[in-house]
Amino acid sequence: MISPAARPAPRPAAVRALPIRPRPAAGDTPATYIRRLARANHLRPAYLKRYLRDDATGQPSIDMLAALAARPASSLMHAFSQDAPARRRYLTGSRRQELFETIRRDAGTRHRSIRALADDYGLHRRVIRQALAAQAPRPRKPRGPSRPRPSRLDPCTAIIDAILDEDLRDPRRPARTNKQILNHLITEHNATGVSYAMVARYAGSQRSLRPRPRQPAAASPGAAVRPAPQAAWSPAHQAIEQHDLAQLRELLDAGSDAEDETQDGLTLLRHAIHREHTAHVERGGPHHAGMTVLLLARGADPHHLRDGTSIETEAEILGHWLAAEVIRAWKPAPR
Amino acid sequence: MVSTGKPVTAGHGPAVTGSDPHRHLTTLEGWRDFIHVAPAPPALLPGDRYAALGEDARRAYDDERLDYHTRLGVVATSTLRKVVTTGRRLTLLNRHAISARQGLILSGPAGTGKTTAIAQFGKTHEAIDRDRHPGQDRIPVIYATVPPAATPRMLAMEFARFLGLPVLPRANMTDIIEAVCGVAVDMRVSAVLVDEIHNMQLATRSGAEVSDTLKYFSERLPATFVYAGIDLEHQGLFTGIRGRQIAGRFTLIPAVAFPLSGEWQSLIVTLEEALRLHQHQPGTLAMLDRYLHQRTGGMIGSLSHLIRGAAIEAILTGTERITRKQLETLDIDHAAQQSSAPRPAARHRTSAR
Repeated sequence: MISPAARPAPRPAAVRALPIRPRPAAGDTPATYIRRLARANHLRPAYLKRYLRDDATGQPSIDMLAALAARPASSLMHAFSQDAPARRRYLTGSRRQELFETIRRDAGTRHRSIRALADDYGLHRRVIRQALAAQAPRPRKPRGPSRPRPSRLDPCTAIIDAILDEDLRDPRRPARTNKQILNHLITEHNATGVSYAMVARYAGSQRSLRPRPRQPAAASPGAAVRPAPQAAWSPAHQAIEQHDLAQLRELLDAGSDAEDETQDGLTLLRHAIHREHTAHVERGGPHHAGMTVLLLARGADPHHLRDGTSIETEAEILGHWLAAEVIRAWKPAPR
Repeated sequence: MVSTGKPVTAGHGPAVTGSDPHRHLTTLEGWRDFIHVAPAPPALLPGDRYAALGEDARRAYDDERLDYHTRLGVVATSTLRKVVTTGRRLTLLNRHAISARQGLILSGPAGTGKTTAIAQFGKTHEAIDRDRHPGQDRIPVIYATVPPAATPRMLAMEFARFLGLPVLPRANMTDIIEAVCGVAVDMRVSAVLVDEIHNMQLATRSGAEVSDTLKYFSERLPATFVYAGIDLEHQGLFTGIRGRQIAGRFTLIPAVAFPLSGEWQSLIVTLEEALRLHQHQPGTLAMLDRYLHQRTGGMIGSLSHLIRGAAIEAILTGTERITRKQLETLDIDHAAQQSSAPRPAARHRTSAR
């Protein structure tokens, strides 16, 4: 019945089309298209890449890819080339005016229909009609002020800043690595949805803003994430770091400056808000604003800016809503 | 009833039109050709016009008729009708089954039209699926044959080959099965036809593994499985643990040689009516039913082969008619030739091309 010879070889010389064939999109490269083809057909991309590899060049063979996709090789080449119509760009101002003039000229000399012009220019027929009606291009619709995309890292940025600042203050200790910072965020602040890459990108950008003086590293990099109370800190800052309201009050009573500021602009008030927030995150209880209120009562400046960020905003970002409300209520009061 | 499309050949998937070696029932392209190609029978010219044809015109005309006779239509036998209706009923029953879907096994001696029947069922199923979901790119049917001395990997590769998934020599079986199942689910496969299932010997280790692989496919794919093979009930397909499971899941439809009865005569009449010969006396073959039954042992495959062979001979020699004398000169497959009685030597399947 079936002679084995009649059966085609396991890998036929001619490539057959894949069962599921997504189209190539503008801006695809052979690599991205192979990846999409493979994913659509539940194959591993590396597998398909190996299948398509041209032994002579080591590159994927476009002819085989075209056969797999059941499309002419020329159309694939076109999609992969730069000529493919990429995302339409919105021309503004005088360039749009010029475009309208070109369209009017085309309609007059080449007798193109509105539909054909719309196809030619990749514009909507409505826009072509506007151009033909000799209208000036409408000004572009105003867009709201651009706002940076929110990130899951947002609640953590202040903490990372604080860690980086701490590292900067004590150059003898080895700076904490991104991995250590990430672990700190996860274990100490219950951060979720934060990846190493997110931390690395943010911490990297922030480090570049804080040039670290080159000094030989003293200890091994495996140092504890949570720093011991810093010797360089003033007693008041230390009290805040220990979340010791009574100690802070004593120090202030004894004449400590409520505007005590570290080298990098961390005021007592800002430090207190961070510490209170950390306590809230760690213990899970409600927010307390004892130190914040005490410092405000003792004349700490709520309008202090660091890197252009007000203390109120920082409290808001951290989610320390109680502190933010107190500061907001405090602001109009005469000082 | 004659519908054109596929010759009634014994053995594995009939060759589909086209010279492309991949145009085979066991590839998606070949299967789609089989689904869509329905050549109309050529019109028979009146005698005087046929005589008046020039050399080239006559050759073209004869070529067209030769082509038509090589793949005379499918004859709707009772087995074929039963397979199609039972298969359809099972696909409806299985549509909402979560697991333990029922299947269909078609078993019988060589040349009884098993492949034709399951292919026809696949065609019916695919046509209904296309009607229900017009314009969608779906693959409702997979057709695969179990290779001789099959291993699970070879079976998985058969499925991959049908779908057109590239298989590298180094590909591991898990990847192939994952790709096959993923694509099959995405493309809404709802009927899986596995032919030549007798190549799977449950007594051997690799055969048992093939059976397990098929079982695994049937768990992964929400589809009705239809198996066809030679004398399965005598080959131990239903013995042992695996066999009992198969027996519990599958409806068995036996395909048998035709007895010399009314249906046999009606089959011959159907085939005779499909002939396009100039000098043929209608009713000649119907008169020869007893002789044909004795020649072919009641095998529809052998009968079709014999009549098509005779028709082609008649066109080539220019006699344009089929007579008993001419039929006697034609060789026929070994199985049918061995049998003088309706009970054929079933184990031997010969290529009836």
